[in-house]
Order: sequence, then C-alpha cells, then structure tokens
Amino acid sequence: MSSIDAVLKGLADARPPTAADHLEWSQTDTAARVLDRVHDAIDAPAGRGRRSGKLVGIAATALAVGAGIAAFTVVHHRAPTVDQMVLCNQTASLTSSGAGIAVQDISRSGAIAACSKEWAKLWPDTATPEAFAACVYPATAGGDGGMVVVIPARKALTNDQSCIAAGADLIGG
Amino acid sequence: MSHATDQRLVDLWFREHSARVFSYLLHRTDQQTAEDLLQEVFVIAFRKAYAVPEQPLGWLFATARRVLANHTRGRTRQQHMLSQLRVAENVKPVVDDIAATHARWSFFELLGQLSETDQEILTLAAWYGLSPAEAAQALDCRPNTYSVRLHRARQRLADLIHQAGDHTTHLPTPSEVLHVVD
Repeated sequence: MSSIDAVLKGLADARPPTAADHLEWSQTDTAARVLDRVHDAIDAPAGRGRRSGKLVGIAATALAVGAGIAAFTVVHHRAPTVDQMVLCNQTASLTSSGAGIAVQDISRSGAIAACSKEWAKLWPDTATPEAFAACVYPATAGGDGGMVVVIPARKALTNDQSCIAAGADLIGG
Repeated sequence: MSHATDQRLVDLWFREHSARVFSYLLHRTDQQTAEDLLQEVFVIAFRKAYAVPEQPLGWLFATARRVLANHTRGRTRQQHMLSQLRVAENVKPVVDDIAATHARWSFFELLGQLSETDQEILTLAAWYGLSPAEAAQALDCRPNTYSVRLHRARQRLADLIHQAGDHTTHLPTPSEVLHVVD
C-alpha cells in the first residue's frame, strides 16, 4: 500500500462515529426537533422572535450622530435570528442586573472591524445604521451561553446613564 | 423567491445534508450546542437562499464553520478539535474490537500532531465526503488552492506515519478515554 493510500485508509478508519451516522438521521426525533426550530425562527414575525421561551430583543432607537447624541442597541441573541436592536454608545462595561448579561467594552477598532465583517456575512439584510459597527460577544454572566450583540456609535463614545437604564429595562433588567 | 419556496428549499437541503453537517458539529462541540448551531446554519440558509448554490453542501459547511467560530470566539480557551473529539459525549468507542480501536487511536494521535488547518483539510473529504469543490467552498479558497493544500497535508501525515513506523506509544483504552454513549 502506498503511503498516500495508507493515509486515506487511516483517515477513514480514524473517524469517530456520531449520532448522525445513519442514513435516516433526518427522519429522527432530533432532526425533527431542529427542523421545527428552524421553521419557528424563519416564521417569526418581523421585529420579534421566539427562542425557547426566552426574551430575544428590543425595538431600535433613533439617534442623531451629528449632534453627538447616540442611542444604543443591544441584541440578546441565542437563536439564529437577530430580531431587534437597541443601539449602544457605551465604552465602559455594562451589566444588566435583571438579565445578567455582560456587555463588554468594544471600543477597540480592530475588534469592531472584525465583528462588523462577521455581522455583514451572517445578516446582510439586517438594517444596521451606517454610523455603527457591530460586535458579537458571548454573554458571560447568567450562564445561559447566549450571545450579546452590541453596536456602538463611532462617535460620541461617552457613557450615557439613561441609555444604560433604558437598556436594562428593555432587556428585562 | 417566495417565503414558501425558500422554506421548501431549506427543508430539502436539511433532508439531504443535515446529517453530515451535524456530524461535523458533533465532532467539535457538545450535542446541545451542535443542535443550536445546526439550526442556525439552516436559518441562515433560508435568509440567504438566493446565494446558496445548487449543490449546497460546501456552502452549508462554510456556514457551519463560521457559526462555530462565532460561538467559540471570545472563550478563554480555544479547544483543539481533536481534544474536543476525545471528550465528546457523542463519540462511541468500538469496545468490541480493541485492536481496531487501538489502531484508530494510533492514527488519531498522528492526526493530532498536524495543525488544525491540516486536520480540517484532511477530514472534510475523508470524514464528511465533501468533493474537492465543496471542500474548497467550505474553506473559502479556490479549488486549486484546496487541492495543493490537501496534497501537502496528506504528505505531512504520510511522513508522520512513516516516522511512527511500527512503534506505538502507550495508548489509553477506550474506557479510559471515551465516554460511552448508550
């Protein structure tokens, strides 16, 4: 057996089996459950969304960048659908007391650029204001493994306590 | 395309390809997360149905890689793919064939000495049956580039096999390493 043949055979033999390794996997209860959730997500009404009984998002707020005023948007996203957004201009870390979600400082331009690229790939049809970059961070507090999407304003990056309070209220805090 | 048409397409893609995408995810994360990410892949497929090629498998794998990367981004420790496999609850040991199991794990050890990129390149075809074009799409590179990388990765693995020869290091038994799945 040539060395490459040995490689190919060894590779195939080394594959660990998984629960999906049978021809009728798509007919299983697991597959049906996942497909149901796909249908739920794509059938969700615009602007809201359902995700396993948890809150998903909040309505977006307006802002006036030129005047240095910004609102903030936070999306609590665990399901595939990003539903609603609250725009955020925070540079400091925030904690939503109720939902237990930590919003991390995302003022680093490199992180913002990288994350906005990922955002654009995954949700290109999501209305994202031109003035904002998007970042995705895992939720650290709360432990539910969800994702928090924070969109900061490029300008006027100052703390706005009213936004923090509004954000906390909006996401269940 | 209409909502209904897109949904029918997604159902078709799910029926034909979800098992392989799910296997890919199961090899890299726990079952619950794999289910969540599988859902995400097909919701994205619905939203971007206009961009999904007629043969969607490569595109689905590319999407699965991205959602997995997003899921793990920011975590304190980036887990090596094979270390994930070692402790994956969904990996079944071949306990009734110890020799085969040890052979598998010997090869597995060698595979683990390669870079994650090489592992990905080698396993996309060998473990999930992707064609060169599909694998290239999954890796977001040109087919020629993929072919060159594949050749080099296979050669590197062949070199490791040759160096290993008949010498085997101590390998843990399946019950020591793996979680048996009922």
